[in-house]
Amino acid sequence: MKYLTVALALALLAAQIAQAELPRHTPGFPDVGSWQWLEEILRDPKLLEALRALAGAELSYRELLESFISRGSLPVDGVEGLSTPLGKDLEDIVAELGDPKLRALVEGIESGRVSQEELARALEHLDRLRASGALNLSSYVALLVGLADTLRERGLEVPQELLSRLGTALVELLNILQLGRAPRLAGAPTNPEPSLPRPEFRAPALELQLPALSVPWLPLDYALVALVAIAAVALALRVGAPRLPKLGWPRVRPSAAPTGAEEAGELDVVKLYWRAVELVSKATGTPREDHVTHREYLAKLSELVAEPLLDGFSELTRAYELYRYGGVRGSDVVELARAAYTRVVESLGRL
Amino acid sequence: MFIMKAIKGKLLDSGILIEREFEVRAIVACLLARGHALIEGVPGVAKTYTAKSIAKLLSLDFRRVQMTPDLLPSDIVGYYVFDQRTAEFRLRKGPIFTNILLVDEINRASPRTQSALLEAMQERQVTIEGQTLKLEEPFMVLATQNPIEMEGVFPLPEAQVDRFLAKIVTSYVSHKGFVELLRRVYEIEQAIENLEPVIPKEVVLEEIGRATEVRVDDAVLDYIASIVEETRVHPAVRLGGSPRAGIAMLKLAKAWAYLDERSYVIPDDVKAVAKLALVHRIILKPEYEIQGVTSEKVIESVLSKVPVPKP
Repeated sequence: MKYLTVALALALLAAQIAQAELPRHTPGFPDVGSWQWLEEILRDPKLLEALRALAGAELSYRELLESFISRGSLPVDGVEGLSTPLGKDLEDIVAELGDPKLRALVEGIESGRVSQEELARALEHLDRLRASGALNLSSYVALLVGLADTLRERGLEVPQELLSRLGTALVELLNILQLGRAPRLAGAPTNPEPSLPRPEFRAPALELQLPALSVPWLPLDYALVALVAIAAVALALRVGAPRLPKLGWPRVRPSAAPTGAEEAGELDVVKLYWRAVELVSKATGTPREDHVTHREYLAKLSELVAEPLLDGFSELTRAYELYRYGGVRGSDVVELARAAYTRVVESLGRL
Repeated sequence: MFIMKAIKGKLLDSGILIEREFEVRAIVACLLARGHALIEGVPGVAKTYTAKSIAKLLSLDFRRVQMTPDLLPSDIVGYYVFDQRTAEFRLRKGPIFTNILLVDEINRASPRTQSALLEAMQERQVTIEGQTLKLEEPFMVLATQNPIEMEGVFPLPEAQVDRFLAKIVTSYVSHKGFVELLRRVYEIEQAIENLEPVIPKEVVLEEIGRATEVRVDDAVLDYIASIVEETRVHPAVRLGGSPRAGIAMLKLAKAWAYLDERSYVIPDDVKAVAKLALVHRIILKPEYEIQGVTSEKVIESVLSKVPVPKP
């Protein structure tokens, strides 16, 4: 029994080690990598559908998204985003929009008299509304979710185009809202804009998260043998993996030394700029072409966007220029870039 | 920055030069980059006025040479004369022994005379009767030429054109600027005559030194090299930019950044000076030239193709 206890403890330990990952991003900034799995699922309609089916045949798309939100995978809590429109009925959203085409479409779906061609046209109409700015991103997502669920409830086929649009829109939303959940290093410079939620930093790899092992139908002996086998495989994988230098709990901690934290932040001035370029490109439909300089792109944007987005992006461009070409290092330029990036993301969130 | 501010205040803001901000800036950039400028334009677009008024504002020795076909090299560099009283040969220095040399209508001089300028421009020294004499710093040749006339002119050979750091192509002023010029013509002529030097030589030398200290990131160097290399593979180009063209771009970009009150070069500076540095160094294929393709268009096409540094 003593050995079994030790084996179990070892198994739990090994499972934890196998799960644990070193932070591959700069502490204090969004861990883009941790959302990649969700992005992949959202981008593929088949995967999204499979996930919904796996979660339960009766689960609606709205419930699926709500479960993402409640688990924190879709970071919209605390930021005015998807929660509000998602809580409304499809009819209410359509009534608020006051668009006759959409109302006719919903009525058609309700009565089960809608063809796939009509649906395709309606989706294109939705895209146009979105592009014209009459429909914001959150309402667009809520409309797509509502349409998908209504179709499903009426026993109609949910078109792949709809799911594909839903996935793309969710990824876009996810990208825009990432900063809202960005953990911050303890002692890092405080955000000059107190209205933006900034959860305290929690190093994800340093926490012990015991895996749930509740399998009631499995006899204890078999479960333990399976666990030991899993532990052995996990240990073997861990030993072979180049990421961790040695066995044991991950020892990497956010550097307390000011120079280390500073360097990590400085590296992000460039990253933040390009991240902002990506977000602004998507929002405005104006990508930064390869031959266009940062100043030329800013000049182009100044004709397309207004304050405060323009102001934020302008400041971020200045910080990028100072860091990238001016060789300016130090906390000032990092802080300038962080504050500007925050303003850009906030402004985009309000669009 | 004092040079540019002083010149801007005296010439541009006061309306002595109308719509010539780019030309003035390019000339000052050449001065800061220790280069020479070739100003090209049709007759009557204030090429000589621009060069002359800038030169007059600098407290530097300034000479002007009006090129003619019968001008001899010795008329520029100087010659030895026999002094009967001392029974010795005495050097009579030519106008090239100055700080700013305005060579008006350079393409009117014979190739032999033009070549006399070569050594001075490149080596900053002249050789007379086997004796080499250093020219005083700063030394800058501001040459003007008219691209229209075909008779009585001698187009500059490629080697000599290459000696100019930048070629500044001037054009007509806008209608509004033209009316303004007509309204104030006497006032402007008088103002140019009365211009007094306001920029001390020490300031010029100091600012030349500071402009060379402007920081250039490796990625910007890579960008410059890519632009020059792209000119060599362009289908309309017979002879593209040389390494010297790249060096000219770099020097001008540094001076351009300095005039912008920046201590570092950005890709925008490189783009801004690309035409200045490359337009006279690119030789087009005749079949494209006949079709109306110009060096400017080739450079624009290259700039729209070469990616700026990333990330």
